[in-house]
Amino acid sequence: MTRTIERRLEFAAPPERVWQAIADPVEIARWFGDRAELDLRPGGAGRFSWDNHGDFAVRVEVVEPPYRLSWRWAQKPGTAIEEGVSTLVEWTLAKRADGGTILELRESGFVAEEHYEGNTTGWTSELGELEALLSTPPSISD
Amino acid sequence: MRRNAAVELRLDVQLYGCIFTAVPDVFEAVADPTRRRILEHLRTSGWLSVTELTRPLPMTRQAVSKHLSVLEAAGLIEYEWWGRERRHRLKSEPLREMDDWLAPYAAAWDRRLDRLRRYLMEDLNDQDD
Repeated sequence: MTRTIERRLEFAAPPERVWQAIADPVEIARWFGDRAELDLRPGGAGRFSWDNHGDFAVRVEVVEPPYRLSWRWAQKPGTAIEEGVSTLVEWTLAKRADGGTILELRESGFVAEEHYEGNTTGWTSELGELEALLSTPPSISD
Repeated sequence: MRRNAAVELRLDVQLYGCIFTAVPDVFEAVADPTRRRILEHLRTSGWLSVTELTRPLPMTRQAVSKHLSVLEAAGLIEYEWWGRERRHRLKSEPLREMDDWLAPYAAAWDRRLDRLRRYLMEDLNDQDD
């Protein structure tokens, strides 16, 4: 049920070059946001920044150059990965017969039980109260 | 017995109203992994009773019934009485709300990937940069 975003692109450039563009923070900042920091190793921290939107915390998950890269990023600016909603961005690169690159992007985790905040704060804990309240549901047993 | 669905639903809505400011929306309803499993089961199998829905889950029928009330309040399932048995079915329309909500995120990716494409093309045309 969790919704995901999936995209696929092809480039004339080889996977090594595309990898550089999506993994090197200096290059990331040229197309992705206004500024980028990325400690490129599993568990490494990063930050993607936009002048208009703020700083988004990043945590690197998988680094397998030049074919797989994934990182998790906070959905709200200025919040740590651990404290709010974060989604997982996975990049997969494959070499084309002509030396070019097939790049696939997948972003998932927009709806995850531990990721609720704002108007849905405390849903999980409140569900416990709800269960208690509905412990004898009217004619719901069949 | 047959047509008390509306009464039950109203009761659920009132109960939720005590705790939440609104009826649980589709996001809240699918935020729970058990409810996602129930929806998935209904999506692949059509009309199912509480007993059938409970079978693959590590919990009681009562617990499953409570999850079903949440899904029902969010408009994600409907049910009918088949004799003495209540059978449930997925109503996928509210899920469209999630797609709508996701659209701006997808659009943001389209813009970024377009910039990436142009960036790499410029790069190929001008190897020095």
